[in-house]
Amino acid sequence: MTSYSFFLGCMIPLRLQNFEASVRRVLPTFDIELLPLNGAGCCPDPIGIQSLDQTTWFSLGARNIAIAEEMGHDMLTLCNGCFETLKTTNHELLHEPTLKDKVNGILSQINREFKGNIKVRHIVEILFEDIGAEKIREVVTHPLSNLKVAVHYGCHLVRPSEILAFDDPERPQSLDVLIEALGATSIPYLKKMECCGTGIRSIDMDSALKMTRQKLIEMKRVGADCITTVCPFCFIQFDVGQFQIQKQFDEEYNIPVLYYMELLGLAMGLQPKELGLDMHRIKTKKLLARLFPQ
Amino acid sequence: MPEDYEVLIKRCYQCGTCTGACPSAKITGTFNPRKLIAYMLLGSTERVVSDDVIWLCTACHACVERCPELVYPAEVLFQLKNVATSNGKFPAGLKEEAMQIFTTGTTVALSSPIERRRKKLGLPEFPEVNVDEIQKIMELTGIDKKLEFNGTTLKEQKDEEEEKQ
Ligand code: SF4
Ligand code: SF4
Repeated sequence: MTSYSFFLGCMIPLRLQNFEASVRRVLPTFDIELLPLNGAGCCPDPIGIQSLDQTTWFSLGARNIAIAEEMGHDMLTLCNGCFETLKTTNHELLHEPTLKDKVNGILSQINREFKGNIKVRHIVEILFEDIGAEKIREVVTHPLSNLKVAVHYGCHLVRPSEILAFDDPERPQSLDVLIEALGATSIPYLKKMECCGTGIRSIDMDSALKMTRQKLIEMKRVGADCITTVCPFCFIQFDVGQFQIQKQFDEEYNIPVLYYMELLGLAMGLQPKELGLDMHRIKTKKLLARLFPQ
Repeated sequence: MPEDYEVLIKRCYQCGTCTGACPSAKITGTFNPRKLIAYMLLGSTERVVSDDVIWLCTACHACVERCPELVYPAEVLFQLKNVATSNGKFPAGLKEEAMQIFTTGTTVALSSPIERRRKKLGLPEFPEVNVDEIQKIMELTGIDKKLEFNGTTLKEQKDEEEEKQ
C-alpha cells in the first residue's frame, strides 16, 4: 500500500466532482491510499496568482507543501495547475536559499515551515512510472476498442521541463501509452502540443476560445471520438469552451471530453453514473452507447 | 530560479523563436514576446509594463523550452506583470480571483448545491480550509494592498455595497 497526501485543490472538489469520483473509485485498485490534507487551500493558480505576485504564489504554495510535510507523505495532485505550482515551489525553495528564507519568514508567522523533504507528484506520473502500463492493462475488463482518442497533455504536465522533469516537453508519450493500455487508439493530430488557451480565459475570452477552436478543428479533421485531458482547466476549456465555440462560430464539434481517470474507470467496468459522466457539458451518452452497446 | 528580467533580456539575440512558438502571438496578433523584449532593450521598459498586452501570455512555456539563449520569456513576463501589479495595473478578473482566495481559501466558494453534488456522487465532505492562515499570508506579502482590497473579503464587499444602496 502506498499512501499519499491527497491534494484536491479547488477546481476538482468544488466544480468537477466527476474528476474526484473517478480517482477515488479507481486508485484503491492499485493499492493507493489517499490521506486528506486538512487545512490546505488553493494551490494557488500558477498563472493568475503568479502573474500578480510571485512571493504570494510561492508562500501560499509552500504552506500547502508544509502541511503535507507534517503528514510525512509525498503529495498527489490531480491537476496540471496544482502540479505546476507545487512542484515549482518545492523545486525553487529547495534550490534557492534566499527564497526559502524569505518564504519561511512569512510561514513562521503562522507557525509553519517549509522543509523540502517530500515530493510533489502528478497522477499521470504515478500511473505511468510507478504503476506502469502493463498493470493497467491487467485491470481492464472492458477494453475501449475502436475508440479514437485525441490526447491533450496540457502545458503544465510537461513544461517547464527543467523543473517538472516528466516526459518530453515537446513530444511526450506517457499519456498516449496509457490510453493505448485501455485498448483505445491515440490518434495523431496537428497542434497536439499547443496550449488550449485556458490561461487567458479571464483576460481575453475571445482569444482563449480561438486557441481551443484551432485544436478542435484538427481533432475533428482526424475523426476523434473523444478528447482526453488530465487537468480541470483544460477540461473546462474543451468542454464548456467547446459549447461556447459551437454557439459563437455556429459550428458543430460535439466531441466529448474525458478525464483520463474516467476512461480508466470505464475500462475497469465502473458505471458511468458513479464516475459522474453525466456532469459533462458536451454529452457523453452517444459515446457510451457506442462503447458499451446494451 | 531564473535571474531578474533585466539580466535575462540582455541575453536575447532577437531570433524570434519564442514568438514562433507562441500560441498567443498566433491568435491575438498583438502579443509578441520578441518585440516586447526588443522594446525593453531599447529602453522602453516602462511602456511595456503599462501595456495591457503583457497579460495575454498563457504561461504555456513553449518559449522557455525553445529559446536558445535561456532568456525564459515566460518568466520575464511574470516579472513584468508583477511590476505592473505593484504599479496598480492589473486585470479585474485576477483581482476577483485573489479576493476569492482571500475570502474562502479557494477559487470557487463551497455552497450547498456543491455539497449536494458531492454527496450524490458518494464523495466525503470537502475538507475545511484554514482561511485564517491564507489571509495572514496575503496580508504579510501585501497583495491585498497592491490589489487595493486591503483585507476586505468578497462577503464584506457585498455587505458594504448593499448598505450603500
Ligand atoms: S527565443 Fe530567446 S533569444 Fe530568441 S528572440 Fe526569443 S527571447 Fe530572444
Ligand atoms: S509562455 Fe507566454 S510568451 Fe511564452 S510561448 Fe507561451 S504564451 Fe507565448
